[in-house]
Order: sequence, then structure tokens, then C-alpha cells
Amino acid sequence: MANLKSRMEYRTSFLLWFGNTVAFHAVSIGIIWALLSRFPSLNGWNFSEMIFLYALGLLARGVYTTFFFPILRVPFMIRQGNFDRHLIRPVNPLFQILLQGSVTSLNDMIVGVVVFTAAIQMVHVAWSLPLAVFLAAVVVGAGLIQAAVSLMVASASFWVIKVSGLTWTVQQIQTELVRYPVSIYGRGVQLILTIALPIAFTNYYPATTILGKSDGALLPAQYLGYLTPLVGIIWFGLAYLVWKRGISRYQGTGS
Amino acid sequence: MERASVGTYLAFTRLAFQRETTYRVDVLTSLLGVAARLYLLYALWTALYQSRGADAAPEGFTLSLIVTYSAVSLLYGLVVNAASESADQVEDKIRDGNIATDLFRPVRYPLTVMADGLGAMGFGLLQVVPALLVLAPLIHLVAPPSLEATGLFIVSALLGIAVNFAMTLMLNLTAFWVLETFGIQMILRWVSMALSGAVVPVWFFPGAFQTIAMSLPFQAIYSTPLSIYVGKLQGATALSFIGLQAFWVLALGGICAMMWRRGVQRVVVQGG
Repeated sequence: MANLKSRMEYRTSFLLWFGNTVAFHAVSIGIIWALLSRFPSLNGWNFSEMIFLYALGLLARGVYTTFFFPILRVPFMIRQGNFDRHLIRPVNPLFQILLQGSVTSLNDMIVGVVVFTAAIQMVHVAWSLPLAVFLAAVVVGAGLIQAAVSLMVASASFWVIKVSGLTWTVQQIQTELVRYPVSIYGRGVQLILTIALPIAFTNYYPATTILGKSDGALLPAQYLGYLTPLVGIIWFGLAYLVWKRGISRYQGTGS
Repeated sequence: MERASVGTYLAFTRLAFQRETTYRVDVLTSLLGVAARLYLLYALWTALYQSRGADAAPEGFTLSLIVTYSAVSLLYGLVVNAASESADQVEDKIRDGNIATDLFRPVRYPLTVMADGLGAMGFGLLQVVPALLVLAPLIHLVAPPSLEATGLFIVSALLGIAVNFAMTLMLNLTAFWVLETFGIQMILRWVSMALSGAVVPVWFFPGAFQTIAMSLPFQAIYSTPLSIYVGKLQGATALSFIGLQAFWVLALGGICAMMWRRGVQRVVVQGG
């Protein structure tokens, strides 16, 4: 695990990272395909709809990694003492950090667009301009939610120095949880994933809205899907407040 | 140079075990990961089985058996990964050039790596047992169908751990010749996890994929011991699969030995 983290700092070629991303998602989709070749459906979701769900999550992740990826470096920056210089300059520190993004972070977006293009040809959706606009708003909102979670986790480093191992696991689990329709989980978990950690909005709720699916989820999923962009903005706002609070604490107690 | 004794190598094992006990946060993290993943799999399988009707048992796997399969897979996976940690560090040592100092010690480096792996594996087992005792009643964990199955499972599990160790070591040893293996390693990790039957049993794979998966060494790590545990593989069939595991251990181990010899030659020739 420690090995993995330190290796993520290395500069690896774009192609290698891209190949890695493709392989990861190919395998994940492969697992879904294997499962749905044995079982008729997953809570009423067939393979095409599962791919649509997966693709929506990928697009959200694409927005997140393309624009907000550098947030992940913050805990390392703090630990290595590289964070302070961002506070000296007159530009917003978060903005500075976000500008340090690299081309390699486009991976998820590219794969997301490819999978989504395939997905929309597999599902029965009546496309229209309003729907397309809604979709764009949803993807941005979902991306903001992912960025918000990431920002909150990164901000934890202002309070507790050694967070990385646990946060990595938590982020991994999050991604795995929303790969499947949230309706398969117990009521408590569904509530948590809607209110406390709203990652169900990154793909599940908007997918039910667009596909018109109702599968026995605890809450009215299709209506919640419409709220996705709003949830994204609110949650990112909250995350930003936590971030600012963290910085003022960091400056107050010294490095 | 004196030949080191077994006792010397066992010292590495003991040190590794002690070292692992200091990583308390990591222990909690990995157990948390197992608990979360088990919950996810439990919810997933329950929903899938519901779509097939009450008495679904594809390939002989009832819901109860598949949940047991998943739980054992996750816990076993902890031990597998713990045992291979030391093998995974060989690459860094080769790249750093630190391998040169290891070549001059009176101990044989590859054996110390294995001894270390044993210690880490022991600690991994220590984590797993209490987790197992907690989980078993919660998810109605089923025990192996017979004493014979339990014995075969233990043998198969040890072989599976050895196969994974050998594969990890093999990948790490490529560092003698290849500059950057990070990307390939990650890709192999995902692919091996999927094809090994760790998440979805190989028996559920559609036609051609099952054939492909069965001919690769990955299934020797997870699928065989897990299938023996749930009773999918029994008696003579189980023994033949165990034989296949032994084959992979020997084949991969042999390749590692060859790579190590060639790699060391290279280091010595280039002056370390």
C-alpha cells in the first residue's frame, strides 16, 4: 500500500496511465457483464442500463479528475512542507493548486465519453435538447460532488497529519459502492449515501431520472435526480468552507 | 562465506511479524476495507439472486454459499497480499541499487524475502482469525462440507499464497531489465483479480472466458482454494486442481530462480 502511494508521485507516461485506466474499467465492466450473463437483472437493471449507470459515474469522475485532480496532492504537500508557498501568494490557494493539473488526468474523461457513447446507443431514451442540457448539468454537478468529497478528505490533513492510508481505502470503497444501483443496499446505507455522503447523486439518482427507472429505492430516486446539480453546488460550497477553516487553523498553529 | 542456518532465516520471519504488529492503522484500514467490501458483495449477490427466484443455485452456488465464498475470498485475500508484500519490495531494491549490498551478505537474498513473507503472512492470519470469528455469525458463514475439505482447503490456500508470491516476485525481478513497470503491474493486478475468481467465481464465467481463466495461473491463487472450501471441488477433482497449483508454483518459482541468477550476473558485470 505504501509502495502504491509513493509510486503515484512518479511521472509515468500518459500511455501507460491511459492503458491502466482502460484495463481497470474494462475489467470492472467485464465483471458486470459476467454477472448479468448469469442473472436476469440486478434490482431490475439490465446490462445496458448498468452500463449507462457506470458511464454516468465515469463522466462525473472525468469532470472531477480533469479539473480537480491536484487536490489529492494536498496531504503530501502539507507533509513535505510544500504547502505554505501557496498561502503567501495573493491568489486563492485552492485555485493555485488546481492550476497544477496535468494532461494525464484526462484519462477518466476520455474513457467516460467512449463508454457513455456506447451506453446511450444501448438504452431506450428519447433524447431532446432539454434532456441534453440536463445531462450536462448533472455531469457537472456530479463532478462537483466528487470534488467536494475529495476536498473534504484532503482538508482533514490540516487537522490530522497522517491520514493517507485510511482516506485512500475510503475513496476506493466509495467508488466501488456506486458502481451498482444504490437500491441494493439497506435503508441506513441508502440514507448515508444520499445525505451524509451524497455519492448516490454522482450516478444513481440522475440515471433513474434519465432512464425513468423505479427499482424500490428507499427515496423517490427520479425526483432526487433532478436535484443533482444543486447538490453538487451546495456540497462543493460546504467543502470549500471546510477547506478555508482548515487553512486558517493551519496558519494559526503554524506549520 | 559461511552458509546461513535456518535459524538465521527464521529471524527474518520473526522480525517481519514484529514489524507488522506496529502498523495498527493499516490493520484497521484493511479490516475496514474487508467489512465494507463484504457488505457490498452481500447486497449485490442478494439482489442478483432475487432476480432468479427463490431456489437459485447456479453452478451449485446457493446464495449462502456465494456469500461464504465472497467472505472467505476477502479474508484470504488479506493473507495473500500480506505474504507477497516483501516480494513487492524487491523491485525498489533493484532500482535503488541496494540489491548490491544484499548480494554480499552471508544470507541468500531470495530466501530472506521468502522468510519475510512468512512472517507477514503469519501476522495476516492473526488479523484474519478474529475478523472471521466476528463475521461468521453475522453473515451465516458456512464451514467447509467435511474435514477432508478443510484439510484440502488449507493445503490449497498455502499453495495459492505461494503462487501469488512467485508471480509478484517474477514481476518485481523484471526490474533488472525493464525501466518502468508500474503501469503493467497495475494492469496485471486488475486482470488477475478478475480472472482469479476472487470476486466472481470462475464457474460463472461465460464459455470461452472460463477456458481462458482456467489455463492461467491466477485461478490457482483464488479459485481453487475457495472452490474447495465451498465444496465445488471435491475428492479427486480437488486433488487434480491442487496438482495444477503445485505445477504453477514450480513453474513460476523456476522462472524466478532463473531471472534472479541472470539479474545478479547483470548487476555484478555492471559493477553494482
